[in-house]
Amino acid sequence: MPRIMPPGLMEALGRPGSRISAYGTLELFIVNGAETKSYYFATASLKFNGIAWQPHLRKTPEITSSLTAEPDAAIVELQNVDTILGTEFANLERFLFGAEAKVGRYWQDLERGDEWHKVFLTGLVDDIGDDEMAARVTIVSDIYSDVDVGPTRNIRRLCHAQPYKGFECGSTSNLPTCPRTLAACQARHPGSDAFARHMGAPYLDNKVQITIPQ
Amino acid sequence: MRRELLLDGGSEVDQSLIDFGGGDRFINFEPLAVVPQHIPTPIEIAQSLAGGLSLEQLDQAARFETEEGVPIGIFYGKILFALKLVSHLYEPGPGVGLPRNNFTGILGEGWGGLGRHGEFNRIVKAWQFGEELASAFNYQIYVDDAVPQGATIIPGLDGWNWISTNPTPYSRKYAHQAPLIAGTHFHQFSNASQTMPVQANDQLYCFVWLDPTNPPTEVMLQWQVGADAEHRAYWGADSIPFGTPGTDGRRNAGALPATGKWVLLQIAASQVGLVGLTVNGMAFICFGGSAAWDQAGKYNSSGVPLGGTYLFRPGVIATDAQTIEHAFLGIPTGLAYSGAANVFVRLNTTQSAQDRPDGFKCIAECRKTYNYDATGAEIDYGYAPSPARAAADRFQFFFQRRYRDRLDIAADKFRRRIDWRSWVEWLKNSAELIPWDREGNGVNVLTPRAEFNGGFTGPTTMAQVLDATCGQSFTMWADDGEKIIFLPPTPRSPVHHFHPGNITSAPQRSTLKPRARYNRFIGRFRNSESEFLEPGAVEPPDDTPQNQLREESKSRTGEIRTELALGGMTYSQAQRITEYTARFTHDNPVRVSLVGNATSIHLLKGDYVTVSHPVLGWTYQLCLVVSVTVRSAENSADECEFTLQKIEGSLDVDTYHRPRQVTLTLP
Repeated sequence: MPRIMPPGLMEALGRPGSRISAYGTLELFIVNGAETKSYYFATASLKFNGIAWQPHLRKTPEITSSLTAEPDAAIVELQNVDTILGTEFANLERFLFGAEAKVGRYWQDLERGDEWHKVFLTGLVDDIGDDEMAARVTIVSDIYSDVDVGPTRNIRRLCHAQPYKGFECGSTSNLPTCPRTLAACQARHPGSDAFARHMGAPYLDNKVQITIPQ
Repeated sequence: MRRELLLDGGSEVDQSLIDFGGGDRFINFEPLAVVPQHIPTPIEIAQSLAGGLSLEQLDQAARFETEEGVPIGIFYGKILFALKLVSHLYEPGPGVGLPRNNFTGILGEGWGGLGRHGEFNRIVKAWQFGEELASAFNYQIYVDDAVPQGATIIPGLDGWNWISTNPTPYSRKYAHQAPLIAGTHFHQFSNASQTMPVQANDQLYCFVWLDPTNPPTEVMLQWQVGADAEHRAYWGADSIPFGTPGTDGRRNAGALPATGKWVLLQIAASQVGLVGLTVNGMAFICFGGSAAWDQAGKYNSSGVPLGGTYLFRPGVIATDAQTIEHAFLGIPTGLAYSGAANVFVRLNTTQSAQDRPDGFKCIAECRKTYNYDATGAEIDYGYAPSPARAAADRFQFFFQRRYRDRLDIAADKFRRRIDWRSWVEWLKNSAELIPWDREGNGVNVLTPRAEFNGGFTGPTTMAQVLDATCGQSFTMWADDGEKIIFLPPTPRSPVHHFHPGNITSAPQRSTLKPRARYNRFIGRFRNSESEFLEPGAVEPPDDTPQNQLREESKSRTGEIRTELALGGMTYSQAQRITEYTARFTHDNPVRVSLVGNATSIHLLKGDYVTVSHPVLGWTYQLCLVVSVTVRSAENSADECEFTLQKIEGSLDVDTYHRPRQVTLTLP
């Protein structure tokens, strides 16, 4: 199933002799505490969707996606960032990493006046670098970002790591008479987490023989 | 599905993080390397019965220690677990009847957490090593987030107060609260059209949370059978005046449970005279104080041990027969594992505190997940070994984690990021039943095209989740920039035709040389049809023209083998995946690079296209888009650079399964 394109665009692109202008766009959403700052850049000064897009995007970013393990990604270059915006960005730098970014394209039909906008990459800012010419921002598709969707909980030990019947359990009583229950452990060590030393079950090492009844 | 996954048999994704019941992490263990061909020894039979664990693995499983800091996995579908026991409680009797040992083992991440999704479904089977302890434990959840269908609500003094916080519900989204009122107070429902038939050996249960500041001095549950309400159990002081003391109408079930946490109340149905009757109402009663009530229902504890199987007896254990009295999925109390799915196992033999079994295994049906319609609206919630539902569950979690303080934004982003129409196609395609001559007797059985029985036991990206779930179901996925699109293996027409008029630079062809191609494909899997989820291995059908090509390759270059680490699935699914992989990687080695003009800007990886070009000598040749780069377009028209893979015939593999084989001989 191909990309879901804005209605009319593919027809216009395929029309013989059509004159279509294309521009790159970048949307950045930087969360600074409770506030979300939105920035809209393009490769030219544009106005559409009720937004003034600032012409700081140096060139239309290349966006690659493949069936290989390489993440879908794009590197965007920002140029001529004026002092005010530059300062603002510098102040927000620590919030820039992980900020949501959308890289897209904007088309204008120079004959019919139609216009279209399509996001080609929704991702997170993964890397930032700059020189005297431009600031480079690497954007990686959110699907490939390092947001961990694995397990969130770890096992926390409430029992000690020693063999069950060892003196390491901390009991000062006569071990052979220890009832070996959690309740008894709690009773022996009131007011502390020492009761958690109750192992619950004996440790078996790898050399244990397995026998099978005949 | 990614190409690397196919080429490398899944090695691109760290398999230790994606656990199909074959991983070597703390819960599951690698399948046996070789399926024995000879007459098996008792040890081998025992291993087989134990789920195919080697002696070393059994030893590992026998360790009762929990590894501190080890993440609790997230599991979908039906998984074999060697339980990590985290608690043991010995009850000496006679207060509880015979002396008995209680154990709690961790399975994986279950209740709780962000969004409070992901309850585990049930234990299908439990063993003490090779011995089966119970056949099945069937649950009926009767009250959870809503009263049963058709019920008449009787608010009583309490009123029906559904709450989502204070306390956080035990299960799903809501609990119902009994506010702080002096004396006897209750809320109730009756005459539900959705009923709960009670049978012998059924246990009735309900979760309760007692306000630690103002606890009731007594809590009571009442079950109704039409107008007959004389079925009650109480915990704590005997102050509530309903029923006659010591009868089915007022049975003492124990002391008042601990306050400030969710506690399981349960009683045998026979204790309240309900065996053989059908419940259609319940009342939740307190004396003084405040409490919250959550999930209520019944489960059956009539698990019948299988006799005559082999017992593993490492270490010293009691010599008497181990029978299970009770196995329950839930949260253990008094331990720091809330939010984890656990199995609680009780042995009711006459044991001493020192007599402990050396380990448990169980097969559990894991997380419940939501089902969605083509608009992304939730339509159902429950257990299903569905790759699409597992992926959606992780996707929802992905946004909940990104926007953990704004779950409303997370929900909105989740809805918008998935192309739900193609997701539903994927869901249906996987669940569709296809005919399979399983026994080789000409009689077809119906089997789901693809199931997902696996999990994630370490840090995992969303792309890895999509690779794992799509990879088990012959499905490709692509990011359109705004929506994730799924491409299940339904017949798909080419969506673009490349020809000299829209190709801006001459195509370049390359062919993967025979020495760089695998020519023998082996899929290793856990057989989801086996009672013990035994490991198995499978190769593509050998009676096909494609296999002849692979045999020819083998004769020229020698055997170049790859083994696919597949999850829990049927023999049919494993064979079809193995065949699919062989077609993708061996049978279609020709690739073409070309640059298309702006009319190809809509193409995505995984799309089918056709190519006609004199340089290639092709006319409407079917190809698969392997990669696409949308190029910079300043001062020129848009261009896209493609890598295409020539596809001969079809990748469709629905009919490429054969009667299951008992063994596979591997050198």
